[in-house]
Amino acid sequence: MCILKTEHLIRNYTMTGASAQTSTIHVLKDIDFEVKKGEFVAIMGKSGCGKSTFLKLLGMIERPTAGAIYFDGMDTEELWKDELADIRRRRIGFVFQDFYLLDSLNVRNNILLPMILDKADSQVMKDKVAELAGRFGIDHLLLKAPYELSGGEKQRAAICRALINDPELILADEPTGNLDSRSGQIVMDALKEINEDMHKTIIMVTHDPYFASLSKRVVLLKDGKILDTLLRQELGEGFYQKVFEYTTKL
Amino acid sequence: MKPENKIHARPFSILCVLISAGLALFAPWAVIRGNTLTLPELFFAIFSAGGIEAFVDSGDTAAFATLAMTYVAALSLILYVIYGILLILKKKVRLLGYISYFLYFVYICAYMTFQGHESGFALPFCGLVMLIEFMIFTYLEQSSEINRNYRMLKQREREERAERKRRLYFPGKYPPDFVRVIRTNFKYNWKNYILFILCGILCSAFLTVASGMNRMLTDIHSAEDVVLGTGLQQILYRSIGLILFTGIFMTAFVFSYYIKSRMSDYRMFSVLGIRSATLSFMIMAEYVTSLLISLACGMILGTAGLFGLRFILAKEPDGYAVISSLGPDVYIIAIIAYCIILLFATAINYESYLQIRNAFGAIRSVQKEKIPQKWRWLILLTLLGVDLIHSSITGYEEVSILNAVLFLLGIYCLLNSLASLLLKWTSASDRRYFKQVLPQIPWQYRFRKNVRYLFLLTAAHFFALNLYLFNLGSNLIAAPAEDLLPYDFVVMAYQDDQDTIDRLSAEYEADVLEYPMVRMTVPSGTSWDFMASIVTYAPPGQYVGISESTYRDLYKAHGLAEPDDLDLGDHEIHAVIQQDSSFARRKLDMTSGASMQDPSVNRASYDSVNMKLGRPQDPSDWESWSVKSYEISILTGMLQRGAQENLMVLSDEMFRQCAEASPGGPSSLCLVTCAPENYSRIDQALLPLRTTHADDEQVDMDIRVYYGKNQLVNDIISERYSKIALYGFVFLMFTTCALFLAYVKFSYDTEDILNRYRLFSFTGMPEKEQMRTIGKEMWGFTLPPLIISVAGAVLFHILTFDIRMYSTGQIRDYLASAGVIGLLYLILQLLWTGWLVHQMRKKIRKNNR
Repeated sequence: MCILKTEHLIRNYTMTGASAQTSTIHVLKDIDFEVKKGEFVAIMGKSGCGKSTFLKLLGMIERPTAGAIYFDGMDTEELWKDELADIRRRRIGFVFQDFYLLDSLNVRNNILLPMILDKADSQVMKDKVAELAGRFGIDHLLLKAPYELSGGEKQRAAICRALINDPELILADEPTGNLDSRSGQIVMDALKEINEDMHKTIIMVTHDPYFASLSKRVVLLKDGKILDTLLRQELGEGFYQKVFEYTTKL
Repeated sequence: MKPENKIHARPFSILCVLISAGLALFAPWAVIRGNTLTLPELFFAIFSAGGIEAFVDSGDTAAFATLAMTYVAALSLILYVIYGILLILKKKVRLLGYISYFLYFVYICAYMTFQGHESGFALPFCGLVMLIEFMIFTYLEQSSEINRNYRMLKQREREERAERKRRLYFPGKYPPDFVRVIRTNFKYNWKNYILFILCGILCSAFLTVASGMNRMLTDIHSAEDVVLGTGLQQILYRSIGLILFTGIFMTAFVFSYYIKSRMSDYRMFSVLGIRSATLSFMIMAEYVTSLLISLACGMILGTAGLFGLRFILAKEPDGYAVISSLGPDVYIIAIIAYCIILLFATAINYESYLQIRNAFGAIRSVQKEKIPQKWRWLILLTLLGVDLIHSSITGYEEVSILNAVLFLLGIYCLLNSLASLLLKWTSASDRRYFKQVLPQIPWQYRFRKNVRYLFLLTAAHFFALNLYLFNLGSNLIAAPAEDLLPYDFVVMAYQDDQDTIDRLSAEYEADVLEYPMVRMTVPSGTSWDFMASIVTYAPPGQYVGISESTYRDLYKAHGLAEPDDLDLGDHEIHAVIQQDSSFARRKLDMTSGASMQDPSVNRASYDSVNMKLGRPQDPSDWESWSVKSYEISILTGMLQRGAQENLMVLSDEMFRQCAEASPGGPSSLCLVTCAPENYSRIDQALLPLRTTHADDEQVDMDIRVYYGKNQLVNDIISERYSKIALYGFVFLMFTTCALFLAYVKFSYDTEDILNRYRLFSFTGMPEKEQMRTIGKEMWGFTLPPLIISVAGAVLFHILTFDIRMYSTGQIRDYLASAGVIGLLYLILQLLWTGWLVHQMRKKIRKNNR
């Protein structure tokens, strides 16, 4: 069952140069892509190849220039702004490299934010935050401010926030990018757990071939196009080796 | 859309067909050779005669053509009847109907053209019935179509509403945590709001004070003339306009920074899936709360300021001024003006607001502001800027808001173009670029905001240092009121008033100087203002015409050295403008032929003026008088603040001719000096003259038949004191604005600056170099506006000194009073910037540690 699908996806940006002439930058060029429910997909590519833009389009944060994105069979182009907001709030969880936690709120309220915005019941919120914080080992940090947390703790708080409304899809943009290898491993373990135990679909953008090899499928992007797709199922033990080889080629 | 198949007005159409058919068959159709024939009878007659050609008289082509066309009518009626039958059978063949209407129309046209025979009533009535049937049918069909479309539109709207409701269904209430989140966020980000609130406080405080002053000064002196711009309220109205203008741009400037600072939070909420209405509510809640706090605090602050002003005004002029009490209208006006400011400031930033509201816009990172790049545009902008500044200097006539705005517009154009050209120039060479890369960083992304900031700061400095400092200073150095009125009474007496004048010296021991005079008037006065253009009536200006001998006598009587020979010719005038240094140089008349500018010396030359003897309605003619020279001095008294009752000096011979030609009116200029105890008795003795010559005062409400010193002194003192308070307030307002703007700029830029200097620190830039660079950067944003404003202010001050003919002593006095205030202003601004730089350096050091 396909949760996300893109057809002939194109994203261009218009830039105004120093000579006041506008030029079009073709970031994504005709991408066809599909993600099934329960999959863990890593998107790799060198800087500027369009990975983050692709993730923003999949998360309905940006609109494509052309082509279509289907979320659970719905053509997102036909959805209204608030319907897309509803999908982002209820059915998609976001994890960012920079965490994007509000310093004004404590960790608990940061995690609860999507639920608050969804008019959830207070008791349900209380139970849910306790459950998730316990699961990801940050229950002792709930009353702290984000700036008092380490990078790994912040990212785990962000993962809790992404999961709070029990979404089907998690979009992670370089979730380990700002972390040391140990914290990165903890975050990756958490994502694996979310995928395997909680059966959430994950799409993760990463630079790191090792973290990418923890996924089930690696999509390699080059110059706005899908260069290749590597499947753990097909490559078995040689999956990491292959991902690593491709990374050096990219 | 499927067309409707219903037949409209079917019974009516059938009835019409029956009537038409009946008329055609049985009613008279034509009258030929005295015989009245129905249509069948007509055809029968033609058939019997062997055709139309045989039926009509030989050569009667008109009758031939008409009868030939009758076949068309017959065809039309036959089709019409078929159409009727089909209607009875409930068949809708509208085309048949249209063909029959058309054919009958053709027949009628042909009949009207040829008129080959007389018509019976069936002929027009058939057409009339068909026409009515056509119109009613069409009307019903169309209205039915319109109604049907309307119903469908409504149905579609209902469906869309239902669809919208279904798709946007979001039941339930936000939990209490939602309000808590907003509140906590608001409290946490107070620094972002505080400047916004502070800006609002300043605006509302200024407006409250201005509105309150307007109320207090309503009755401050005896003759207030709002319409003609001579009064204090005119000054206030203009100042309020300037306060509004400054408030709008200051709020818009702060608002743009405020939006920028809140953008990251809004972006986060948007990504997390906040509904657009909820986001709008959140923005509005923060915005409205900030504004209400600002309004309330500003009004409290303004009220405190007003009470202070009221205390000073009521105390200092020794009760000369009549201070009106404050009422709720003061606050209502302030609130309305504040709302206007907010409305415009929000409109200026509307694009940013939309960007926030739009979920897709809000997630975009802050975009680089556009830098004007096209050469054509930049050259045009530079030329426009130079031209505007050039016009403001060469066309300078007096201290005016309009001139200041013109100058500032030129500065704005130049700031835009020169900043852009400079960036272009440095980018053109790598050597230059890398040398200037650090100071250029703030300009690359914040070009518009920086230009707007520099312009606003320049405007605040310029308004303070040029406009209001000069007005304040010129009032501070103005001669004492008593010196401006050397005589106790100035009477323009008629011949019949001689008895009254004689009694003054006889009964009240008054010293009366009498000089011959003629009344001279100009068409539209000197106090004519743009406000007067709104009303159709602008009163004429009245002056006192005297001979050169009298002019010399007046000098002598005043104890002054005798002036040089005026050498006046025929229809030449020497004007003596009687006003103090605080008033703008007056024109003698506002209409064409009045004073014009002499660009070479930049001083009014009063080339010529249209003038007549007597009052405007008197029978004499308007003539062009050449103004040979003028002076600003007090000879009889500052009776009308230099706006009227000035002295027009004519040659003795010219004066004699004028006196002979004068159509009545005052002929004697009486200057009365009396003992203080006799002042009111003389005033009483002169009072009847106002009734006797009531017509004079009716022409212009400002004009008096005689002027008493006491009342005028009261007016001058209270007005001058109020003007000092008023100009002082506006000067202080702009001082505060300038300080606030610099503070806002660097406060909002702090985060960017700290990040940048942290990066510099990481890249190995020594601390000393960092401190030097930040100093250079910050002073670069405060010194240029100050330098431009000071240079502009100095230039316009020199021009004004020249135009108002200030003596060296007056300039010295001015520099000792207003000059010191200006210097203090500069020191304050420099100290303030120094403090801001110091604070920023401290922050950078702390941040880098």
